[in-house]
Amino acid sequence: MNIQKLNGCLEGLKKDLGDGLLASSIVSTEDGQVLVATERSNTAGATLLNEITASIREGLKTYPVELGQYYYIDVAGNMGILAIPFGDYQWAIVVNKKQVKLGLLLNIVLPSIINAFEDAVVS
Amino acid sequence: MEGAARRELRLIVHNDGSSETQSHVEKQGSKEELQRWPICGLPVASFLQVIAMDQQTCILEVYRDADRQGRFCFVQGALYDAACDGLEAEDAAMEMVSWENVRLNIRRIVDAGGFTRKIEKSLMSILMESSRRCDEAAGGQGAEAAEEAEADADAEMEAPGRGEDRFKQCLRVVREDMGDALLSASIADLHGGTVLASHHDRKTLGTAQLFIQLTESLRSAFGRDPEQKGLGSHYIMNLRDGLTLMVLLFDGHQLGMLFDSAKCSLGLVLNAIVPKAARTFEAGGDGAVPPRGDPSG
Repeated sequence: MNIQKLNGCLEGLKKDLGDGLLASSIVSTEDGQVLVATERSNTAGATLLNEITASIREGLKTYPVELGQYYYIDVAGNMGILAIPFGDYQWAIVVNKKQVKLGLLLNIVLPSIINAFEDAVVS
Repeated sequence: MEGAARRELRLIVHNDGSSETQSHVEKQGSKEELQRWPICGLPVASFLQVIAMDQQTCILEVYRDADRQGRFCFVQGALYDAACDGLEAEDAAMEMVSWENVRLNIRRIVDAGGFTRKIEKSLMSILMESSRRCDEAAGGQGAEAAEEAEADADAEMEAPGRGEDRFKQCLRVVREDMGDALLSASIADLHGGTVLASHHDRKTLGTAQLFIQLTESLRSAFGRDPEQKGLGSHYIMNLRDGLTLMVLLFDGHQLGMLFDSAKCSLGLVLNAIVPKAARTFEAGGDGAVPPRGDPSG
């Protein structure tokens, strides 16, 4: 894992989303510890999202299907949460959904940040 | 498939009200014994899904007749391997899924340590691919049969104007617009956890329960959030093998969909199909809040 590239992921995301980005953090899925995060990130929220991912994976086993590259949760109010699990890490991104349309997020931003994230993790 | 210590569990299948037990003196799988086993009335695919959902570790023997047989190997509900008629792994699995009027036998595996996973695709992918191959092989007849099977499965969905429930109308809109991209859809009451209407492949309600369970997990998790955020109007999950799961929440209900996003893009679903379903719901409803028409924000 390349720490500089991880930080680069967050910087790139800030540049792409601007004020639409509310918070972002990359955590270890093993223990929920935060590796890197933006200024306004909520550590407890990132850890909770880690648990959500685990429960989703467990639930999907019953079908069975497997979680892919991301999931998105619309949150009451003006927030949307995008989670990108990859290997032993997960990238949590909280956006202002009034400013960041879902289509932009999933079709434009997501493909590039997934590539950057995977590159940072495997480097 | 490598063997390991295993304990045989013979399946007793009830057929037309009669059941048979076999003497253990006869050789397993011998022709004489085989003829005494009743034919399993369920499709092989349904049986595979039951084993997967139950997370069984076992070998499922499938007998098409005395000369054609095969085996599926499951480890904790995951399909590890298959073999039949000289075929192996995924090819064997897809071949056997297409068999009808089969006899089945389950052998429980006590120690699965010696098994090597040779099938990487999910069971769902294999079932879909098998179905696609069957349709292609059968040509028009297969397509008509599939349409008839769907009509049978959704027989309660009546045309508008004949007192059809608005939930079922919503699902019909979704089904018609998404075509074979739609694998499963259902509407459930979140308070009681009951399924109110459903469209599903392979005639199973497993996905309906999955949607309910996922929503409950998310609600429970958000309940522990120190910032007191709440689950909003929808969530979307990218799944492996080109599948997408989407759940829309409205007025104590939810519409859950599982679809092939290679055949029907998420954008089309969000921006065209869901709004259309919402309008259908509004048109047939009594003023209750419909599914959100603009999940994209």
